[in-house]
Amino acid sequence: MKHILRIFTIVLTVLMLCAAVVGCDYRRPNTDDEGGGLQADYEIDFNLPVSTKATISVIIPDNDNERKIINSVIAGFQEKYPNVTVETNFLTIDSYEQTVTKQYSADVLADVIWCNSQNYYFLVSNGYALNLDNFTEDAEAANLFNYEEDFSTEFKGMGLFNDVRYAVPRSIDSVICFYNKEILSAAGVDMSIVQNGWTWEDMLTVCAKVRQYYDGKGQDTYFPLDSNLTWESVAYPVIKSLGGEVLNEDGEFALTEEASKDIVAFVQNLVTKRYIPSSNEQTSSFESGTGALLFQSTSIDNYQTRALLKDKFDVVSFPLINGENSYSGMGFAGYALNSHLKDDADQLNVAAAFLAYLMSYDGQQRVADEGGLTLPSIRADLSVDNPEANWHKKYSATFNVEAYTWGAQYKTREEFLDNTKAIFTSSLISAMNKYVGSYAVREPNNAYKYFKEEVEYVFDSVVS
Amino acid sequence: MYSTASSRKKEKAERTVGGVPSPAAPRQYTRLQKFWKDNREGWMFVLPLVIGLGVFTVYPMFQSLIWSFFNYTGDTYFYPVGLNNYISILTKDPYFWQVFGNTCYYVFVSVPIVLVSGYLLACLVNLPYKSIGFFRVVFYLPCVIPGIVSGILWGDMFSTNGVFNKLLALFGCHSDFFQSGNSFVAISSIFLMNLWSIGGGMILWLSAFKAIPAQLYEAAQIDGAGRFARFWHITIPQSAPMIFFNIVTMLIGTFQYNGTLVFASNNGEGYRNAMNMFAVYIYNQAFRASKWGYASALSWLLLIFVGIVTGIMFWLRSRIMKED
Repeated sequence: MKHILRIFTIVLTVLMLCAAVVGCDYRRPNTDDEGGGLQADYEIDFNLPVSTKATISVIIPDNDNERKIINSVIAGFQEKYPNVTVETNFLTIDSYEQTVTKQYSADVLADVIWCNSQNYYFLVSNGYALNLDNFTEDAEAANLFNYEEDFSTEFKGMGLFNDVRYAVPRSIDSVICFYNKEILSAAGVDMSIVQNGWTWEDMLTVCAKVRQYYDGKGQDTYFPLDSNLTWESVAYPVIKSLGGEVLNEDGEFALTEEASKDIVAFVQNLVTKRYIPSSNEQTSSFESGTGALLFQSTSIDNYQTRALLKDKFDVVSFPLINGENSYSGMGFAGYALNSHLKDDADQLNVAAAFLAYLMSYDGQQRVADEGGLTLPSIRADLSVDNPEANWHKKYSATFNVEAYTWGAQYKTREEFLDNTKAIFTSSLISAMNKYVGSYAVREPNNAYKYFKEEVEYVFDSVVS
Repeated sequence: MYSTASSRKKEKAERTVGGVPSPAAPRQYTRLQKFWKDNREGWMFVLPLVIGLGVFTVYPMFQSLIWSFFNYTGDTYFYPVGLNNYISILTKDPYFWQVFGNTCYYVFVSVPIVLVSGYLLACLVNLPYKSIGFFRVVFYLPCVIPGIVSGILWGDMFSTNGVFNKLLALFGCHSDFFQSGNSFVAISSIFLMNLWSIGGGMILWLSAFKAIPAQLYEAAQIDGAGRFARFWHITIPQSAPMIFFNIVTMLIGTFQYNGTLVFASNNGEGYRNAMNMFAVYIYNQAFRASKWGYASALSWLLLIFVGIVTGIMFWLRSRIMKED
């Protein structure tokens, strides 16, 4: 028995070692390689016959909004290509990385992958998302769109890494300010200052009034502002507006102590005046109808469909922090193509046609109409000035929908990430979010030190 | 030993008479054949499990061992680094020792608390009182509540304005509980939370108590043993194997605790790594930072550490048994 076990163990070990070693394909770090999907050596044939028969798959988060959106795209796409079947797979956002990694490794990941600005870098750094340079070129060559003319400035700044496109946003997600009209009115706020282009000082004036109102009602644990400072689309514009930068062009930590002092003081001003909580003491929230202001990029529809908020709120542009040197954030939700597709030309052609349809005039109108997406379209010809644009038709009479598109010159993405390798991006974003939203709130004296330490750790963590 | 060609020839010659096979001689099997003959039904029954273990446990284990010698980060890097992942973890990683300390603190305090409280609770609900079944159900009830629900519930109870801080406020105190930057405070909050689900352990103890023969208690009672003496001299020794089993399995399980992923901030790490534990650290290194090689090395260090602790437990047990 001992011998059998011994032999079994040896055979098993050898087999495992062989299996593991066979899979080894050493990729040494290359200083020219910024990480990510790298490859663009493919061609797409957009001239698909109407009779094309194929099955492609899309993976999206398991929620009604996204399901509705993708179903509207699928319906429109199938009108063009009736013999193409589009299967929908689902994942939960909490286990996004885990699910995508497992499915990609097992080669069962969907052809079209949903992503947002948070997990997009994860797709790029692991090479799961296909470099879409050729996609854009081939689509232009097939006269599907004119990239420069057909799309908004915001669109052209999103879904990129190192100026290479890896994802197509399905809409423009600009950070704006949602406000509860009832609370502001009850607090006696002068509504004339709550206009697109208002400043941070204007917003502080509103916060002061609401604070007074809460205190008068004995609502100590209510706070006027849901600031979302731990979200990069708020945290980075704060840093940048106050003269700071996370990394310089050489990819080195660039935030100075001077700039950090201003940033920390800026955050502390909110804390000491009790406009935002210093710890987990908050019991109010905009979503529950008890908070006054919220920085978010979601659609009006998202709150208008909730009984607690229906017809009680409106939106306004993100307040300008530092005059003309102000920045406001953008995020996005959209779709990437699985990088495995570059080895399967037929499948790639159909998946790319699907993505191109999403970007088309018809696709965008459907997403807004049947899909119910009330965020601004990525297309320039479906801007807020176009009365036929479905995305704002429903709300333009009752809501300040221009807030989403106001001040394109102030909008920024996390450009500093272009100066480093994709593998560091998730950790750097996490460190930045903690700095603004956590350390600057709770430990103003150590915030800079902690942030610097974390960024240095991110860079030191590659074992060679 | 396997049969060699010459030995097999000799065996064959012994079984024949004048070149004619002896009808009475029983067929001789090699050890392998005999093993297979005796065990084949058993092996066929466990084959699905063996295949499952091989594919889903043994193979990933070996794969992770190999990865632990590589810098492997998804599609970006994959090159061998020898022992550098291990060296980096033990000598350079600024968080590792904090994570290790947090885990040890959690394991070596949590296991005795849960074990002893579960044991005592089982003793209580083992008493022959009327309606004791009701209490058993009540104590077990929290175990059927999903972890994610209880995580949210406890997060609320531990909040600045939660029920615990309201109680503390009566004495002029306040605690940040899960939100604390102090590991001692943050992790101790989990001990409090764990008491919520000791009903699970209670059931196991209860089943062990039920297996103790009633005659032992009756004989002891006749001999004049009091309640405490019966508990000390009968209940504890009789449930000793169960105690050892529970200690070992709980130690192994607690070392792999990753519950903070559900309720703690910063991806389960808490504020400034106050609640960051081994399994959470491995998860975040692998699935958030995509450092698969590094995470694999961490996993093997955890395995080695758990192995050492388990070995010590077995050694202690043998020492105690010898002394008895």
